[in-house]
Amino acid sequence: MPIAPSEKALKNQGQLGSFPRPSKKIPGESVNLKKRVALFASSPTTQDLIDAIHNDNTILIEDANLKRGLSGFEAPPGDLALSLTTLTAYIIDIIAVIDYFLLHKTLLHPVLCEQILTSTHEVVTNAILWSNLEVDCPDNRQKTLNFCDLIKTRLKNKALAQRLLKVNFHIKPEWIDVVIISAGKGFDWQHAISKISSDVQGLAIIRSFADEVTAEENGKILRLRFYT
Amino acid sequence: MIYTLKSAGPKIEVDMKGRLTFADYSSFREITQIVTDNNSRCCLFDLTELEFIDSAGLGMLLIARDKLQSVNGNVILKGAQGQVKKMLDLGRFDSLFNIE
Repeated sequence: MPIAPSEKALKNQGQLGSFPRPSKKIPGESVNLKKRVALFASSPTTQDLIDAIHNDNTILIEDANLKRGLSGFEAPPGDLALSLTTLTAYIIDIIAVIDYFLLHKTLLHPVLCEQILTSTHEVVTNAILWSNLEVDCPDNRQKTLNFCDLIKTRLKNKALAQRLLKVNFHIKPEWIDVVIISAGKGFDWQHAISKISSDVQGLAIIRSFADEVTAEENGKILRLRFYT
Repeated sequence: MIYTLKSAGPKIEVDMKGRLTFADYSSFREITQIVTDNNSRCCLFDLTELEFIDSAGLGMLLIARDKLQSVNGNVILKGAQGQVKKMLDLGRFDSLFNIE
């Protein structure tokens, strides 16, 4: 006898719907006179970040939950610098934010945008899970379905949840650099590359789409370069 | 990712919409539970409205495949396009799944 699916299953609204977070920009609170900085009084939503990108050509976005000055402000006009807590990076739809930036603030070919988006998302995911939340890689594919419980547990740990995650885009005529910086334990990039066993692993996808990948500081800084 | 269960029973059909990423483990676990609860032998994922998939999403499809294969069942993937199609191609999913 088939069992009817739960109402929750049928009306699934995804992860984001369960984390409504009010946010409010601080009017005029720019901490750098030369560059506009979007600061938020509370954790920014996806729409907050997209609005900030839409309204400005120099885009430096800092999560209010970060300690002041932790993110650093470095981005020439036309670039994008996101400084977020791990919690915010997990909650927001970071793909939508990056996608909006690439499609509306650059003149890159859509195929290249797609490659940048896909590989950047993989690195950001690695930075959140393996580095900042210090989740261990499962030895069994089936066990990954329980990640949602483990992630929620780790996010309740304030020290882990408040760790910095930076995503910086540097756009030049010949190339685009994406630099992802995590504040956690990092990971051994060379070792991880040598262990790739499947084309569907995140690292394999990153290597397929990025022209160059450079790791620094034990994998806490990962730089992807894409030639235009 | 938002999913809609179109039919349940020995063959279940699931429409996926939006993005299937590492943030969707919880939702996908619900789908695998439905498969278990219905003793399903076939699962069709309609990916027509799926806009984006990451390595975790690909892994989830493989989990469904493992689960169905353990009961001599199978998974069918239908309608993939754009980035999703490219990712399935990258993972050589045509050799692992029935693709419509």
